Amino acid sequence: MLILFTFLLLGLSVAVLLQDRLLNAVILLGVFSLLSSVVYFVVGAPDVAVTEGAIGVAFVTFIYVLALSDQGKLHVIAEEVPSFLFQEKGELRGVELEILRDFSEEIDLDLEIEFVDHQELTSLIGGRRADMIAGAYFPGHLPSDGLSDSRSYHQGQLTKIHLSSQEGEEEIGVLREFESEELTELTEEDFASFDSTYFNSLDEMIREYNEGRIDGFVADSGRMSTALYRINSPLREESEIVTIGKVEYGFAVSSGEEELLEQLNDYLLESARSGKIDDLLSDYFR
Amino acid sequence: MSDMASAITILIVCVGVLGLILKRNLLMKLLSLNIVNTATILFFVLVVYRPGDRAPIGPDIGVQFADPLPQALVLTSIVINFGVLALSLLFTMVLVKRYHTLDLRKIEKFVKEEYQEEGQS
Amino acid sequence: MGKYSVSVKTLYVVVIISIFGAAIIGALVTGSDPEISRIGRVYLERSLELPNISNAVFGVYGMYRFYDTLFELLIFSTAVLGITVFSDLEPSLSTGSSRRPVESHVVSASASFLYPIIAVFGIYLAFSAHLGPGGGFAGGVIGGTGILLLALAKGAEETGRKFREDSMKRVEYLVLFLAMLIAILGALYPTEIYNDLPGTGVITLVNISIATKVFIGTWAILHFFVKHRGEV
Repeated sequence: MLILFTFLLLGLSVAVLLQDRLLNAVILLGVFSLLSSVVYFVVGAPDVAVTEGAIGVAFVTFIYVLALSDQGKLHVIAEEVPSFLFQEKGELRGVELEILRDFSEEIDLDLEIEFVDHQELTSLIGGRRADMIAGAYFPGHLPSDGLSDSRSYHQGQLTKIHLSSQEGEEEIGVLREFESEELTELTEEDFASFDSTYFNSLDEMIREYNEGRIDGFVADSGRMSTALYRINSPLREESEIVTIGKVEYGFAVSSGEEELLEQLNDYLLESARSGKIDDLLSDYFR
Repeated sequence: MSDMASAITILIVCVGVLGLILKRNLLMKLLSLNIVNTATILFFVLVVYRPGDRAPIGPDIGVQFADPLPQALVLTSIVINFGVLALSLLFTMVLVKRYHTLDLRKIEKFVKEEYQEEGQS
Repeated sequence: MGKYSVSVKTLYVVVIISIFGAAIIGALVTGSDPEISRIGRVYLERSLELPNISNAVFGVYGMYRFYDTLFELLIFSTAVLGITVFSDLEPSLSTGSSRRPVESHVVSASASFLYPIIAVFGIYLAFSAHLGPGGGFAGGVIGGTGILLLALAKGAEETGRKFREDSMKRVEYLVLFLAMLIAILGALYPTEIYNDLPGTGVITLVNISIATKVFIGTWAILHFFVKHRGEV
């Protein structure tokens, strides 16, 4: 009898350590304590049994659960991009928000989104603040070290805006992250024929374009649709948007979070199959 | 029979110590520590157990009683374990607040980076 | 580098398994002494001979080795002190978000009904430590469980108002002082304190000091964790 109990305790202790989810491990530890309190009672130590029952089963489990409730957060940092992930009248909205909210519910974490601008995002990569990066992210959008890309949930275009009247050689604004080979991977066009200038942010490129210092710039379709509204109206009339390549919108997960990446990929695959994502996309991109 | 049982509790302590070393998650480490605590208390109680022992309560001396000494010693240690566990959970929460992760390797990396930054400035 | 760290870890595992394996084999080969230990027998017989004591375990931790128990109480109060000090140093931990407790009539009604019962049970266990199983440790913790229920039903703030932090601290140090007094007097005048038990009330004082100390300690820990969360 006693040996059976101790073997059960051994099995439970191994089971606690093999759990993936912390909550399950904590509950199993409560069962472990309860069973050990039974053993104390059997071997003639009722004082120890009562104390272990009150502390080990009730209180330890309780304070673990209270401490756990804080750890279970999915920290996402994001760029604000309308339609994808944005704030409207103090409320978060966007297609990525719905995906993230659904995903965080599925893995039982609280969602916490923090908006930063593009430059800050670059400096935060691999840092401690975020588990995930969202906000119309596509592979190549940020320097790739410290990040792993998830599956894509939506296909967009890489577009170039330029003056339609312009002939011959153009001076095109490009984000600094595209400086290396990334741009040639994304585009079908040969960019060597352009005279490219590199910028740190989209805002800077729009300003330069408005002031006529560059003849055009490259951005993905999600960002281009909002950038268009910020170009001066006479200039907008003359501008023309050309599709030059494809981008695949997805999320970036901090490298080292392999488990999260796997869960996210499974979730995205599953909801793409069930048509959930298509419904969401048709709501936001008519 | 109680020899076998106390040998198994040593095995449980071994499992807990292995978890303490091999697990990278801080809370998992605390859980392993908890297992070690409970198993040590179990060992103390079981190692003096003889089959047929009764709880050392009652005026009758003629009955075969369990040894009260280890029981009284581990009784206080249960409460101490609880206090120490609460304190270490608090430190874990401080670390999580600062580094947003429970992974010990990541926390070590961040702390090292902080030291280097301090050294440079 | 990666290979090196892996091999160190394997070394650790091998060393630990061999140490514990040796311990297990030793325990199986030598076997435990079937006789009750000599010191344990002395404690058992002397405790049960004392008037008013029928729990030999209490005789050890409450009477003959109360000095040890005093240091246990000191360690526990040090841990609790660490928690209160750190919760003051890191105010971000106790954000004090004023989230309301779960609005449930079942919980609040059963809490106001059950809390006195739990409290009485805890007090009973604490005061009958020398007679039966239970004792001050379990009694104090069960009193803390009652507070947990109260916090669950009425929210952290109201519970904090009912059991004020400053008065709790005062009681805590008073009780610690009482325990020290008993331990020191017991060490100086063992026959007067421990042998002439009927009428001195030492047992009750010991029970009260242990139970109150443990109760306030668990309350402080619980209060910190509940405050940190903002709700239960």
